[in-house]
Order: sequence, then structure tokens, then C-alpha cells
Amino acid sequence: MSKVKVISTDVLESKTVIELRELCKKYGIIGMSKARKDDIVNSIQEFYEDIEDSYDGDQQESKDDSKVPYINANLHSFLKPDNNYQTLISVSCGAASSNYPVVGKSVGYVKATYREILNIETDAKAIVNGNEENDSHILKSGDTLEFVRKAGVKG
Amino acid sequence: MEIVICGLGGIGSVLANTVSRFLNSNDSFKPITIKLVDGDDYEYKNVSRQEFYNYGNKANVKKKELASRFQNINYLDFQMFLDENNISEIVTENSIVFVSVDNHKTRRLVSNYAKKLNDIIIISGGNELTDGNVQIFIRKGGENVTPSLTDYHPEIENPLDKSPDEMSCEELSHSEPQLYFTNFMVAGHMCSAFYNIIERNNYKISEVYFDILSMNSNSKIRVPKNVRG
Repeated sequence: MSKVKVISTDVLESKTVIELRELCKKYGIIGMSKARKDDIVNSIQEFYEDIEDSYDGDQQESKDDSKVPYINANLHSFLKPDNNYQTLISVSCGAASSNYPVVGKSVGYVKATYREILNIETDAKAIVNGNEENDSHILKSGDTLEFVRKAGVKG
Repeated sequence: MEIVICGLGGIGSVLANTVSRFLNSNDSFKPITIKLVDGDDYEYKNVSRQEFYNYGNKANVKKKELASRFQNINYLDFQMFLDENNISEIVTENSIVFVSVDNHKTRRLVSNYAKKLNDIIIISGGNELTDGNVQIFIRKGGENVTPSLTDYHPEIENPLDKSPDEMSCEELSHSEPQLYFTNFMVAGHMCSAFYNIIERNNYKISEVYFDILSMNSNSKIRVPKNVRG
């Protein structure tokens, strides 16, 4: 949003009612066609205050944005709020796969957390780096985890 | 080259056509024999998702159909379901076996029998309504190069279903709804596996999954059970 040029109270008060109404139209302030000059000036000043508040909010939001870790399925790491990178682990089940921040988590935790997203069957075997592991196995950086989906029966 | 196509339903009836077309125009694979195995009949109820020109025993109808189109291939029809008594006659050393059956019991039978052979390639496919998978079991010099069909799949190792020769007529006539597109995808992935192995010497992939709703496919490289650490 481009910043609105704020006109001082003295300058506003020096303008005619017609000029102030034109300004209101420009700012999108409605209901001023029959208002008195003092009320129009007050409305314009309130408009300026609202605009200032929204700028402050935008800047605050923008600062918060920088703290949110960006996670993308194609990335293998992401930036944490403390500026350290965390490794993502590739987790798959059948045709579904993605990368998740689960280093230090157990296989059972991953199964429970991503069960619905990856359509993991409750009795699915877990394969970590090609070896079968149980639910208590803790995942390390660089691991690849697969929950084996049952084979199709029909043909 | 000797090929076995076991099961000529929604997957096998398509697969037989595409594999034949590929091999017929490729002189480097001669002489080519394709064994077609199925004890079931092609009936009107199969029209929506199986490819045959005429009604009758699937192996026999498909043999006549393909023999008239592809003169460089010798076709043999086995009008029976694969079982413990006939498998040694049909599945032999150095053959490439496409398993496109509709039960895990037959998949286990083929996988266990293949372990007795030194050199064999098994490409097995199966599906549910909208997703499916293809497994590739390769043995070379008496060793498993990729996992067997049962290695990572307890549902195949301990199947709850019956093989066709154990089913009653009523059970055989009953079938769950299937989608031709899903059968077609399985057949396509089985052909991809076949091409990778015979033309590209790619023996790494052991399983492929696909889902036609998400339009995703995912291939897996796994270690055979006997060499896992």
C-alpha cells in the first residue's frame, strides 16, 4: 500500500468545505456531503490515524513473518527462528511422500502425526534407510523413512 | 527370451498386447516365447475393463488374437490357474514372469517357487480401486538382487485370500468393483519395469506405487531380506 501524504490540521482548516469534501472523496471517506467543516476535518484526521495504525501493524507482521520457518516439500532443510537450519527427513508411504522436521522424533511419533496425510496403515512396517525398525527407533539427520503400503490384491 | 504372463484379467489382457508389440519389432530378443496362463473365461461382464476379441478361455482367446497379429512370437496357452502342481512346467529358469493375478496366494506361490531357481525375473502388479503397486523380484546366480514379493509384505507372506483353484463357482463369479484406468496404470508400470531391466540394465528399483487420484508415482529401492544388516 502506498503511503498517504498527511496534511496538517492548520492546512486542512484553511481549505474550503468543497476542497475538504473532494479530499474525503479521494480518501474514500463517506457521509460527508452534509457534514459541517469541523466534522469533516475531524473525519480526515481520524482517517490519518487509522492509516498510521495500519502501517505499524504491517511492519509488525512483517517482522513476525521473518520468524516463521519456511517449509517446502522440495527442500531438505529449513530456517528456525534462532537462525539455525534444521534438516528435514523424507517420509513416504505408497505413492505419497514429503519432507518433515522429525529429526530426534521416534518412528511411532511420525506414524501417529502424519498418519492421515500420508495414509499410513496402523500396522504398516517402518523402513529406515532400508532396514526395518520398530516404533521406538529415533530418527537422525539424513535418514529416509518409509512406511510400507500393502500390495494391491486385484488384477 | 521366454515370457510368462500369469493372469489375463484387467492388467494381464492389456499387458500381453503391449509386451507383444514391443518384442515383436525387436530382433535382438529372438526367439521369443510367451506363455499365457489363465483358467478363467472371458465373459460379457468383463467387457468394461478387459481386452479380448472373443469370448472363451482367456489364455486361448488371447493366444489366437496375438498370434494373428505378431508373427515373430511363439505363443503357448495354459488354460489353467497356476498352482503347486503345474508351476514347474510353466515357470522355468531364465524366464521373465509377469504376475497379474487377483490374489496374494498365487503371488506367494510364484515368489517362493522363484527362490528355488537361479536366474529369474518376476514383475508382479496389483491394484485396489484407484491405487496400486508393482514389485520387481530379481534373482541372479542364485542370489536375490531385489527383495522377494514377500520380504516387505506380510499380507503376501501370510495371505488371507484363496487362490482361484480353491474358490467355489460363486466365489469366482463375485468380484469387487475395479477401474480400467487403474488396471491400465499397473500394466504401464509393469512395462516400465520390464523395459528398465531388459534394455537399460536397471536392477535397482524393487517396487513402484501409484495413485491415480493424486496422480503420484513413487519408486522404492529396498534391500533383499537375506542381505539386510
